[in-house]
Amino acid sequence: MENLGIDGKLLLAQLLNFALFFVLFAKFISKPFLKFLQQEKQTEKDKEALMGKLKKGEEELVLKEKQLRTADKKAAVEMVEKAKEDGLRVREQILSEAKKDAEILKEKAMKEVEEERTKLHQDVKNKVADLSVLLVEETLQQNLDENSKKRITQSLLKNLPVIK
Amino acid sequence: MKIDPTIKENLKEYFKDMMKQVKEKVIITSAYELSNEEEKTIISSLGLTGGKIEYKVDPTLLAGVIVTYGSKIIDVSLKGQLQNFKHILYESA
Repeated sequence: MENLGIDGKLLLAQLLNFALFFVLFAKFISKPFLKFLQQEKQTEKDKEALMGKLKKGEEELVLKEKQLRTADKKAAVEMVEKAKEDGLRVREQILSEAKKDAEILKEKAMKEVEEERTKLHQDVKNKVADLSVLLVEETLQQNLDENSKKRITQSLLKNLPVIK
Repeated sequence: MKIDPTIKENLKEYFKDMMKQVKEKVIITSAYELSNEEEKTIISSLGLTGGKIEYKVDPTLLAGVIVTYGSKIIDVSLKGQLQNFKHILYESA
């Protein structure tokens, strides 16, 4: 062994040294180190769990936001539809009232036209009567002689009433 | 205003006489000059016994007479008949 360069005592001392180191390490260093590693592992796990929760919360928020937007859009569409319906209803109402007013005006105008027509007709008739009687008067004035006048007077005097 | 009663009475009588004269006044308007016979016929037909009778001529009457007695008017002229006919035409449909 000495020919090979291996010192037995040194080797033994190193082995003892190593054993001592191992015992000391196992007793005093490995436990805290392992504890530390476990703590780090746990912290990592907690972090991951938290990240997972955050991600989940974020996803939920996004979903809720999407749902709210959809609900808002729906409400807006409904409002627009309702406004359209109201507008149409009001338009129909206005048209209906306008039609009624137009009918009333039309009837009134027709009535006035009819009244005017009747009045005109009566006026024309009266004018014709006036002209006819005037013509007859003029003709009689020119054509009645004294004898005819006397004969007519005699005939008319038969219609005289008694005054007293 | 106080008026003497005598004057008041006299005024009353005067107005009464005037009214009587107006009431009893007869105006006969004809289309031509009436003869005496025609005048008598008219007077007897109307039953006029007295009072003043005035005769007028209006050729526009064409024929017949109009008798005015006070506020009454009796129209038996041809012109009057034509006017009646005109009013009948007005009222006809």
